Amino acid sequence: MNSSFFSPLLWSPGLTWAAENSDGATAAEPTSSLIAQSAVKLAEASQNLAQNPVGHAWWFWVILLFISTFLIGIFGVMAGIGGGVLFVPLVGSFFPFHIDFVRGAGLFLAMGSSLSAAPNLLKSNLASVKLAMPTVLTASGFSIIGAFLGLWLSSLNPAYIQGSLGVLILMISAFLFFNKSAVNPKVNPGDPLTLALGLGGNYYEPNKDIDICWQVHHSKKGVFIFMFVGLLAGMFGLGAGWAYVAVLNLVMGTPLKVAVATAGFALSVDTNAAWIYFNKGAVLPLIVVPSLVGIILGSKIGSRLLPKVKPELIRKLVILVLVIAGLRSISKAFGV
Amino acid sequence: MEQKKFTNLHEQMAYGALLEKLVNVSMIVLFISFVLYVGGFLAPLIPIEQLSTVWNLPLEEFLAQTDAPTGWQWVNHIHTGDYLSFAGIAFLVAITGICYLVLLIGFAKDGHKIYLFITSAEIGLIILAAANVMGGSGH
Repeated sequence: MNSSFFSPLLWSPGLTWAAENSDGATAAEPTSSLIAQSAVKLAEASQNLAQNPVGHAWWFWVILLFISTFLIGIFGVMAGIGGGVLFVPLVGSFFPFHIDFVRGAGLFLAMGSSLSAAPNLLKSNLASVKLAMPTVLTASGFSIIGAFLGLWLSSLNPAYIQGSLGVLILMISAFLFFNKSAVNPKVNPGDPLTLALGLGGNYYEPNKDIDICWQVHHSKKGVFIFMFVGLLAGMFGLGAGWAYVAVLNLVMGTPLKVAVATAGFALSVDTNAAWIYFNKGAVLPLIVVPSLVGIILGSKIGSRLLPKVKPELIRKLVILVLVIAGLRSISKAFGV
Repeated sequence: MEQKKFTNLHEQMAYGALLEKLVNVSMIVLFISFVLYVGGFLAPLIPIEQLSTVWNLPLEEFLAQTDAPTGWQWVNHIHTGDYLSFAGIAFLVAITGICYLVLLIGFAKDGHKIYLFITSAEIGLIILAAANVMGGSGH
């Protein structure tokens, strides 16, 4: 067995360090540096796997899945994009599983990573059930259509899905790279849908020791965009994490902290596409369970590390990994 | 126009507390069922060695070769290692539906008509997706 395939295991000292220090007050630099190294290792390991992705015992892939999803969990939470968007292109491109099973697992991961973080986000009042509910209803409704569309396209030719997934991932990478979030966007109160749904709330800001009241605007536009997001999320098994924060923050004017937290909660609610894949038989426990456990443990550590790292650095590293995975997905579609 | 002050729904605290408990239970169920499966304590319907030779096949081909159950047929095979793990996965996906029922009761008590409607609609979608009424068997 190629020893370089075990390179992901070398990440463990950094992760142990991060876990041991997750409750303590630590400086941002060492944590960011360790995470940066881990992200580079993830990309390197992915490239190694691309060169020889088959010929290993089943347990090798299960262990590697667990380690990979553990790291995806950490990065997904810290970058505020959810695990699904990283999992599907990476595992779909570098693991031997068919893209149908990877997309099925991706939806469970998108849900699982946020399920573990959601209780704390709700209790801290950072996540807003009020804000999540109408957006989730729209996204989850359209994700059902997306799930059927994705499975149908894949039955015609899996390369259609693999190729368009690669293009979508590259577009998401570009979107994440150029997207400039606003910490506290200025809103124009009085939007009828916002008032009808009471889309606002309050949260405690420890840095300023004050309660901050907020509300959103352009709710109709936001809900409309979530239809499209839901469709893509169900079609490619990505979950909607990659778009939630941006739409809530940039379109609807939600404060960044609330947008990130609400996205984390909302993804745990959006389970409809997962049910479709489950019922169609596109769910293999051997892929889903280690991935879920890995991402949930990773997300727990990621949410604790969140206040101690530089989100911009994490974001850039995640974008780099996405670009690699997107290009690999496209090349796989062409049989390369 | 002056910004209207909104507050968070008090139901979200109950939701968070219930969610935490259910996630913990589902993790335990998932872990135990998976150990029984991969540890060979419960014989799987599809042997793992065979699975690793067909997991690279498209879904339809995979189903044809393994005769794996679709829809809710897995319940008939819950005594096997792989489909006991399915039960853990199904419970995890069902958590949202359970928590939404708590919201539904809360909104009904508080008279939040709009949110009562949104919650009911989402529960309807969940039931539609989970009941496999739209998809057929997949075979």
